[in-house]
Amino acid sequence: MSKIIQVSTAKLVMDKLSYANLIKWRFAVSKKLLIIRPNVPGDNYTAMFSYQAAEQVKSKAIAEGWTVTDLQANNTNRVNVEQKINSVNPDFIIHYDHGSQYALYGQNNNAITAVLDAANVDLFNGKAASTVSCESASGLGPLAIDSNAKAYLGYDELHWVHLWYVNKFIEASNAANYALLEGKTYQQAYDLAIQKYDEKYNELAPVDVSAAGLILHDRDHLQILGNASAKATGITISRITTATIAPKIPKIVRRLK
Amino acid sequence: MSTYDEQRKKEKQLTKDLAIADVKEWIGKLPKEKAKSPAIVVGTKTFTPEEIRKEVENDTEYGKEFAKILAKSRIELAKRKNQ
Repeated sequence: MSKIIQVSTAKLVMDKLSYANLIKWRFAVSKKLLIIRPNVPGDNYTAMFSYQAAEQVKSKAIAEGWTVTDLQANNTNRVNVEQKINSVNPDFIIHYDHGSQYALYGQNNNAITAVLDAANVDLFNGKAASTVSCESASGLGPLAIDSNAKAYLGYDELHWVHLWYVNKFIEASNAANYALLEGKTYQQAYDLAIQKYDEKYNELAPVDVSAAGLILHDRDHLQILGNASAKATGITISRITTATIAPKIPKIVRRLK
Repeated sequence: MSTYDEQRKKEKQLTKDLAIADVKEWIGKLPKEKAKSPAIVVGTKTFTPEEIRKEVENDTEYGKEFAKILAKSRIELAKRKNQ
């Protein structure tokens, strides 16, 4: 009886060993980005600033090898945003639009409507997030971190823009997102954004005191929440079995010969 | 001699007065047509320089915020003056 057990156990161990030898795990960087950018007619913040700022971020993301899902204008309604987050499962969510303490807004039939708030904050679970909008880092951001978002970059006060110098405001607002898309950490992205805001302040101060003041205000209210060492990229783990490497074996053998 | 509360009240008024002076100075340097063109955007609101001056004068929510922003900018300029 004991011999039978020993033989079967040995067989099981052998099976496990050979199984373990057959399986390898491959880790790869995942770069799935969801952009949410309303464009409400007659709303200057979206029409003259945030929509085009997000367009530049999209170009940068594509250049950096991200797969981009770009929700624009009325496609940024709550149903679409929730559905895309669930179906695409993005590593990184970038939002450009209005915000308030506990909500990020989208657009539904040209009305500005809340699309991410306390009721669906669990959608941030496991994701990196960044928003250029007012106030959300003081309420929704902490809730997102409580719901296991990796990190959240946003503003904890009103986000002001001066239309006469809109390109300088876009450059400053986009700096952190560019850095995150390049694979830098949230802390590095934040530091680079502060540098960019300083640079723009120095350019504006001698020209227009009000615009300089506004860009300084935006700089001082940018906040990182969550893990500052996190990156916006994700990790995919795929299993490599003999079935997946078998087709490559003849090539390897030929090379060895 | 002012009490603490009286002094704080006076200083609030001073902040507002300085902000109005800054905005007026800013508007004074602008070509006339610029003073009435959309300049500052926050949330769903857009203000021309003349409108933002009125916001500050009337102590509205945005006017108060704008006055604080200008005060902060003055501090930053003072910090950098001898750099």
